[in-house]
Amino acid sequence: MKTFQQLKAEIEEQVAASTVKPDQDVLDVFKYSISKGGAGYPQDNQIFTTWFYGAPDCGYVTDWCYFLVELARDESYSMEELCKMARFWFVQPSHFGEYCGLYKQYYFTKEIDKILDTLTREEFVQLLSAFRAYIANVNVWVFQYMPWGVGYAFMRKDGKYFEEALSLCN
Amino acid sequence: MDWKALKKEIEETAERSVEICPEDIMRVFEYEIAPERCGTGGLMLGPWFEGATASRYLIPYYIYNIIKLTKDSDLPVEKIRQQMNLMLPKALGTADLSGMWTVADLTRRTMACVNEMENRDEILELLNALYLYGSSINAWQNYRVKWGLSAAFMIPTRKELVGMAERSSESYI
Amino acid sequence: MSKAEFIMRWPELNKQVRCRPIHHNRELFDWFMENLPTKCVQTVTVVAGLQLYMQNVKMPKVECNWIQENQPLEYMADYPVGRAMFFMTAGHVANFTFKAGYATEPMPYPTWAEVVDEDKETFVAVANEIWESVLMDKKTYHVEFFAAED
Repeated sequence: MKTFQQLKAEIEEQVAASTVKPDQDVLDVFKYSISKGGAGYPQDNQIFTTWFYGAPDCGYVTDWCYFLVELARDESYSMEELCKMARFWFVQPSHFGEYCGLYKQYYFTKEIDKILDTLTREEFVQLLSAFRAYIANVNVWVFQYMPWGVGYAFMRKDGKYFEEALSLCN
Repeated sequence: MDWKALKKEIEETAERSVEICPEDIMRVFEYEIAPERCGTGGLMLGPWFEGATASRYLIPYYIYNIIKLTKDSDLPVEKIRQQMNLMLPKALGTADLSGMWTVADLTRRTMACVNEMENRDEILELLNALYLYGSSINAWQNYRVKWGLSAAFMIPTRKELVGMAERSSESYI
Repeated sequence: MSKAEFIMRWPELNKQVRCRPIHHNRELFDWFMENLPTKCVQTVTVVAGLQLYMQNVKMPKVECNWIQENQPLEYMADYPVGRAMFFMTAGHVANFTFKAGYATEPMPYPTWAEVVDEDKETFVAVANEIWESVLMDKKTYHVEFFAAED
């Protein structure tokens, strides 16, 4: 089991590495379309649904961490309560993110889970803040590599568009 | 604001949304209609991706977790309100911007109501009503996203990846 | 005493299957039975492997009195076709799936019911039909649940 300082340093190292260079997990899944955990394979062997569901579940871990950091500033929440909420809120979506091929973030989730009950309030805030920074970087690279261009086939439509379409129908 | 009237409205909307696909879903996911400020460059993929996720988190995930935690940890009214006001606003804004107008409206009004209520059982009744409605939205989104698009994004096998690498020198760039 | 069996029926397809409890989580099965009849929109999962997915299931009579994390769990990739698991269920809303094919998701969930063996072929056929509809013509399907003795 790592110490708080060791784990925080490890996460911060990954934050630094992924700030200006692509996160490898994101490259694997979003640029190269590799299904590392088998996600999407049994459903017609496609990666698109993994992108659609796996990425946001991971991305929203940043929000879960933000909520926990904010609530940790409220002394009426005991550490026991904060740890329970953390386990209720972000472990499952992070685990799903791992299944979708975002391995590193779940590795950190598991390591955080191991030492969660030993943390002081300040350590809890610092560790989740560091983790949040890493997930935020992952999210940035997801947005970088999602093939948004395919959206050109699905442009926003309005009333005028459909009036014209109706006029062409027999 | 009369919480019972709002609860009734949400429940009726939820009932209808079991039988037929809600307007928000048809508008955004089927007919690709969105406000002019929504969808960078007019592309709908962003609103689908962000809007669907925000709607999914807004009610099914956040309200679910509040109800669950209230049951498990006996949360008092102040903490239910605190968590609701902390969790919901960002996802609410994204859902609204993405064209999920009924979702946003009912959520906004529920939040306003809860912020004035003091009875925890009544708050939970209202949140449960919203939770069921939001779960319907989640179900319909899951159904109506144009998943056929996924056929354009096949998963390469290890053999194919190796084959691609072996041919890399053939690339013009 | 009520029979420990409920029917899962798809009115648009005029098909139905029987579902019974499994070796654990009997209290979850009983809780579900207490809330019948109910119905919802029928959807499918799209990432983990084919499952019929019921996301907006009203549990009108008895609210959820259990927490997913406190229950015996099974890994989705490992349990058999026809088995049901609960996910994100709280208050008066249930959310669950029935596994209909090969699944790769290695995450644990509280399993609680299973389609009877004799009905599994029908069940899998329904799931595949709805998956095709999700990809293409988006026909609306509903699923109804009622106690077998009703």
